[in-house]
Amino acid sequence: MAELGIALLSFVVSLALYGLMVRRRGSLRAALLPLLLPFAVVPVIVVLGTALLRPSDPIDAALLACSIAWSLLIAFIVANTAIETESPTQSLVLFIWSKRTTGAPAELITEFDRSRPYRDSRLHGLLNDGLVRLSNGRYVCTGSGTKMIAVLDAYRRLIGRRTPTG
Amino acid sequence: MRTLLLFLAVAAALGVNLAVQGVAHRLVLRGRLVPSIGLGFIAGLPVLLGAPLVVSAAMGSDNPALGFAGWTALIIALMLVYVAGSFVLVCLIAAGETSVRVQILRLLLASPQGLSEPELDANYSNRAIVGIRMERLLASGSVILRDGRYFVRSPALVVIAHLFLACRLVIYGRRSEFDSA
Repeated sequence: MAELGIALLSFVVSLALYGLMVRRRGSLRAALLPLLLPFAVVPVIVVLGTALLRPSDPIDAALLACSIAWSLLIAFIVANTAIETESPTQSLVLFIWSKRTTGAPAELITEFDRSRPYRDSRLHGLLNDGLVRLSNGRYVCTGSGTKMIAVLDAYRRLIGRRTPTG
Repeated sequence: MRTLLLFLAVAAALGVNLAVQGVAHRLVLRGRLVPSIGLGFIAGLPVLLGAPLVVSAAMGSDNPALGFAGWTALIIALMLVYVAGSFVLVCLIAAGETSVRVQILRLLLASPQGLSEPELDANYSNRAIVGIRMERLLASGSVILRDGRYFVRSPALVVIAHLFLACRLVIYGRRSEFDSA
């Protein structure tokens, strides 16, 4: 069971290190670069943990621990966009929930959407990430953006999903 | 040995998960996305837990005994990795379904000349994003409108939203992406 403890420890430590780096560097753009650093940290923690706890089959335990920690990190990275940049639906739910005693009137919802320009924020992110470029005052999808849509659409086609809701 | 079993079992379980999602969504549940994803996840579980037993039995005497602790660790590892893999699948389908970034890319892809900001506004404005989501929440019954006021009726959505908020606070140290704007 030592390998499970080592895996979870290496996941938490690498995540904490990522959090510290993001807080120090500040901007969302800068946060993209250290995204891969936790993957490199995992084997270091796993080797240290294995040496310290001495499981019966250290290589097997270390490989298993790395597999678990890397899997959790991949899940984190995929969810990271929803964590880093808030989901409009979740924010809306939290906003209405915060007014749960009296309910949220329509005027407050209008105020909510004025204070959160999600489209502008995401467009800015797409430009920063090179998925969209601005050409003669027009926003154009780049090759990377096209590939990203192709991957997502392949999955949608696989399960027979037709119309996205936006 | 266990890592190999882990990869084989998780790959097989995720394959079954995807296949069942596809069949359920197309033929059985007919377009109902969330139950299809749930059914796919459940269908992968027997494969996930059965695959190591089958591989282990097939290897016979070449298979070193794992012992109780070894098998327990393997089963917990299998569950963790399978849940992580299934979560990635959910995130991919959710991104294709409702992500603002993906919707902007789709609109730009549909227009070979690209779109100017006013054209983008006409198709997908800041305001439309909240409007679409409010309609979806009302249609699903997660939010209700009573006497001109909105109320949340889905405790699950509130829990998930708080969970993501907690992660944002712990990792990024802020409540909202617009805090630093």
